[in-house]
Amino acid sequence: MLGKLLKYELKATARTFLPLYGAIIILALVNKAFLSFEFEYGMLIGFLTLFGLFIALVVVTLVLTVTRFYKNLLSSEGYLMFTLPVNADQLIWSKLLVTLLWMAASCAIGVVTFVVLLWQTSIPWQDVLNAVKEVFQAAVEGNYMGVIIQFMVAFLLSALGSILMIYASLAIGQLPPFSNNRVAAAVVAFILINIAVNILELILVFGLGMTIDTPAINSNLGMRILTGANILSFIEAVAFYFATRIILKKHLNLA
Amino acid sequence: MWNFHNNTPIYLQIVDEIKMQIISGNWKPGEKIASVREIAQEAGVNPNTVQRALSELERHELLFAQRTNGRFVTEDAEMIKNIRREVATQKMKETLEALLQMGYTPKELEEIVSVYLEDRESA
Amino acid sequence: MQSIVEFDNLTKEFGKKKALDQISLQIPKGRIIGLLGPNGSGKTTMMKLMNGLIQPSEGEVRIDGIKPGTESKKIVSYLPEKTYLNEWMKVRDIISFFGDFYADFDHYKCRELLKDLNIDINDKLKTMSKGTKEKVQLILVMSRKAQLYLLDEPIGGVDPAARDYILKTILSNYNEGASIILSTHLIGDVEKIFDDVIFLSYGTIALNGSVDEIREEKGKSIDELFREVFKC
Repeated sequence: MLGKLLKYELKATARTFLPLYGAIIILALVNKAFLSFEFEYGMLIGFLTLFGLFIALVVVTLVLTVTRFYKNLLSSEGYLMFTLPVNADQLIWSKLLVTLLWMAASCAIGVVTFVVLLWQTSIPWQDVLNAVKEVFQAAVEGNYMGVIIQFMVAFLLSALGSILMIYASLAIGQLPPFSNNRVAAAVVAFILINIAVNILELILVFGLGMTIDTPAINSNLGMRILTGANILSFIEAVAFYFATRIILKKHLNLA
Repeated sequence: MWNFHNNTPIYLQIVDEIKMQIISGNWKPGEKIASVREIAQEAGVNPNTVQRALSELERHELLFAQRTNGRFVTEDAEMIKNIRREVATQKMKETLEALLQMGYTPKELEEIVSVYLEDRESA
Repeated sequence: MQSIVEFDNLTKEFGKKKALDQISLQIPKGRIIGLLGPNGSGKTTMMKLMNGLIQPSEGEVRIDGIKPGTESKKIVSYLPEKTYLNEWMKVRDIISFFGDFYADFDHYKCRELLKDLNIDINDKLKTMSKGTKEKVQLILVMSRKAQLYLLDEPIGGVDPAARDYILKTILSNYNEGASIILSTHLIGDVEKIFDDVIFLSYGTIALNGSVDEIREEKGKSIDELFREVFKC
């Protein structure tokens, strides 16, 4: 059943993302041409447009995260989705996974654009990469692969956390006390949750800061901070997930 | 064919209507009748109601069921004739009593009936 | 399990308001039930409890012996009062959707019914009139071979000819042995298809009985009885 939900979620969102990706790739190629022919006027317009498209991609991702969840689950379509033989977990995961997929795809498109634009230009790539690697190793005392993984995990957890925070806010916004002001309530919930989480993080950081040993003794300080931050992100994401889940399971309040 | 009032049991109305069909010869003796579902669909009513009506008709032996073959109109021509007479008698009774109450004499009524039927013949 | 639905001392509160108060009843299999009552009497709440959209405050509801959930949703076909389909979808997409999620969905029947109404499956819902949209939803719901059909006001706001069509479609397409619970205001048009009726008043059961028995005992139509019971 989850597979089927994923299929329909992809179908519903692909019609927004694929054209955008298409436009970006075309524009990247066009700009590459402009670059080769040093068509400055074209390059100016072209790059600005390309930049604009990437901004649009970010905005669209955010908007779609909100609207897909709201429209498909919490508006009249909810009557369809919540009477399917699926459970709340499957409904949440189908949207979560598809959003993450598009985020990953967007990053990939970004990388592709980058490569297309800088292909066969006179930049010594191997040297640049080596230099970056050296700086990295110096900063994190040898364990640079670990750091990269930590950063990737952090990125993933941050994306998960943000998406789930949006879902949780929307779920809270549709609770009975707010029946007449669902959107406003969701926005307020989002803001309050954000503030609460930030305060919590600040407290933890300061609290932990007091107990961290002096750097000289702790040779993997960087790793520990990163791990700690990731654990916190994970806990936040889990909390948002369960909040969303329990509200959808037990307190669904469709209009 | 199917026109229901909602203030008397529908199954009884179905019984009456089928009775009419049988005594008027539209549903012939020994003929297989439509299925419960078909009748229900045509009449726009619940199959359970039709089922009840048919069971009632079976009880009165106007219909009989042949296990898996379906239901059939009785072949008892005598019974059909009797019921025919009963129905007509009942209807007559209602009309005649009402008219007699209004002061018509039996002779008057007989005449009116004759004239009516004659006129109808020649039309 | 002889009952398809059982309500067991069920109460549903919304804040302080009791939408349903200590409801207990059993709905047998293979019956068509009219769920009747004024606005706010709890009909839609009862339906939502049966299809798992809301949870009881106290007591239980069971569908074929189990609590509403993923398993019960496989055998319950629900038609809400509103349009619940994505308007941008084509009819053929919606048919695929239903077929994908419901094992008991009858593709062939669905297409036949749509063809009878001259509905092109390549049309988007958006392009249809309200009446046509409602018929499409009804056809989708009735094309499932479910054990329980929950129809919430299927004939409200529709012209008389369409009403006849809807009732005919309901009668001729529901799964034999299944039960239908139909809630409506327009009793006169619909009452001849009911086996039983339940009158709901302020969240309690005012009456629950066989329709023909009521007619026999009271010599009234259900519509007339309703007006009596719920006189303002």
